[in-house]
Amino acid sequence: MNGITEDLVRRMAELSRLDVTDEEIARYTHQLNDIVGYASDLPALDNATDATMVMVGDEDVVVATVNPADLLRNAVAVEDGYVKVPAIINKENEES
Amino acid sequence: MNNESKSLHSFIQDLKGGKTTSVALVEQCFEAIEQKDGAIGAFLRTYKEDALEAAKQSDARRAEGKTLGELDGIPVAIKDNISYSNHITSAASAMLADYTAPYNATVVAKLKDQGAIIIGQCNMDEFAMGSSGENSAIKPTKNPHDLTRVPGGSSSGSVASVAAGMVPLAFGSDTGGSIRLPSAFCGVVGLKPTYGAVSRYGLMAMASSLDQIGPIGQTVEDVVIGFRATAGVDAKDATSQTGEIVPTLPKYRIGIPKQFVGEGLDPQIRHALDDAIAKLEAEGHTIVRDVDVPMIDRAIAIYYLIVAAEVSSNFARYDGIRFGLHRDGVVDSRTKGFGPEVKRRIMLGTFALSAGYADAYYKRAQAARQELKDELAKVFESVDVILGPTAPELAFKLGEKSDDPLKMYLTDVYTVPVNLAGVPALSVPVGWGEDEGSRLPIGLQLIGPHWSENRLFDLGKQIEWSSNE
Repeated sequence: MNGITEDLVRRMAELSRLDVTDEEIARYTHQLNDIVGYASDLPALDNATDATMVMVGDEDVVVATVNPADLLRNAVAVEDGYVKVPAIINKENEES
Repeated sequence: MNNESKSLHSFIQDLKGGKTTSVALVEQCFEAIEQKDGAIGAFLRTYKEDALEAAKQSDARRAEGKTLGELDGIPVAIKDNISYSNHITSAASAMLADYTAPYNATVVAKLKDQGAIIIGQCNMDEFAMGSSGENSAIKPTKNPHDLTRVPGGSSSGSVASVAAGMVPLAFGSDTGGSIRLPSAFCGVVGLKPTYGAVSRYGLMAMASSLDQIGPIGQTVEDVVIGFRATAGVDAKDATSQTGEIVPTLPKYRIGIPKQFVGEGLDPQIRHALDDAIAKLEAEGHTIVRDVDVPMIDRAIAIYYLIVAAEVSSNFARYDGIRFGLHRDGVVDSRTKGFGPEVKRRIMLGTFALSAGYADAYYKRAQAARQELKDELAKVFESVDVILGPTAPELAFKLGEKSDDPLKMYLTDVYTVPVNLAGVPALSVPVGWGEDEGSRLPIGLQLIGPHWSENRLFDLGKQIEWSSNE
């Protein structure tokens, strides 16, 4: 085992916004341990290697691209040119 | 298959010489599809009527001397994660089964601008996650050389459609070998271009720092045509770029990394590699053996941590609200929309990025990725090109690895270093192997520094089908 417990997988599923059955938890725990175990001998971070990620941004230029109406066609519910989303306020602890 | 008569180049010549018409080519493709694709499963959707109509228009343009480009009238297939405007584009996922692409990927727009005819969209591992084609939520694609075997993935359908002669040119995407591995398994040529050489606009993101669209053809020459038609800077993709094109040379120094010929390589593939090396030496190239790139041995570990981390981030967009499968809330939509490999990667990535683990996994993987890049850059100071196998084995049986994700991941052992470094690589069929009575193709991989595609093409033509049988 590489420290990936069923509880940890359950937590990852929750963070990933996925429902997993107990049977799936057992299977994923086993498989993720295999994969993470394989990766556990990567060299330690020694700060000698500069792997800093640099974000290079282009200047913003406004151009006509996709027609908003075409984008909205794939949405479940649309009103006045907006996507209707489930309420997330005043619905504590409920799935949004 | 090495069937010159079916090559893109020969089709282009025949169109130019008036020996055939676009309508005839499209009909020929559909005849092959109707005859073979029921068994192979390379296509998810085909558009015969639209294709024939477009072919008629192409023939009319040609008659007036107004062709749009070299590919005018040529039937082309695309992987189902490349957006095709006003058509279902599903990435072979239940999540996007009803998703209509609202715009064209830049690659599709370029192809259409040049008169190419999109005849259909190809099967793939769901969201390009897989090495066998079996992770498609719709159906597995079969290897045209042996229907009991996988074609390789994730561009399973794109490659199988070309290998079976159903279309002369197809496009796939390659994040860790997804064009090259199936090309090797199916005996065709596939290119993973330099990162940024081909626009990713409209390609459904899997792991954005690694994804790249590339062409698949019967011959190196065909892949050159497909690459030139689609490469170029695109303002819609901030990572697209051009670099200084690395020139071809009369003779090359060709490095063989020892990590590419170690344990786990099928002796038949080793033999084919030795044949190619002998041929290249006879042509006057210099072979540099035992080139050392130690981090290649760590590439799979680095790769799957980085891919999973990028997947967990990229896939947060699938909420079942703005697009995609809608069920009872976000969690239910995601749970029902994604297949097991997608869920596995999202959870692994969530783990690799989570507080308390990110230093140990994600950051370590990023640092190791940089080390691998540095090692390869150093190797390219002393050799011009690297040669090795594309895959450690021949096409394996359907179902053989589907229960063991790590075993499946290890199929990509020779291909993932290329994506991590962002350099180009070309898989070229060189000969045949045998497994349990099946005759199966063997592919080798040429890897060069950034923007050295022309070198890979040059050498690729010299080793194409070079192995003694």
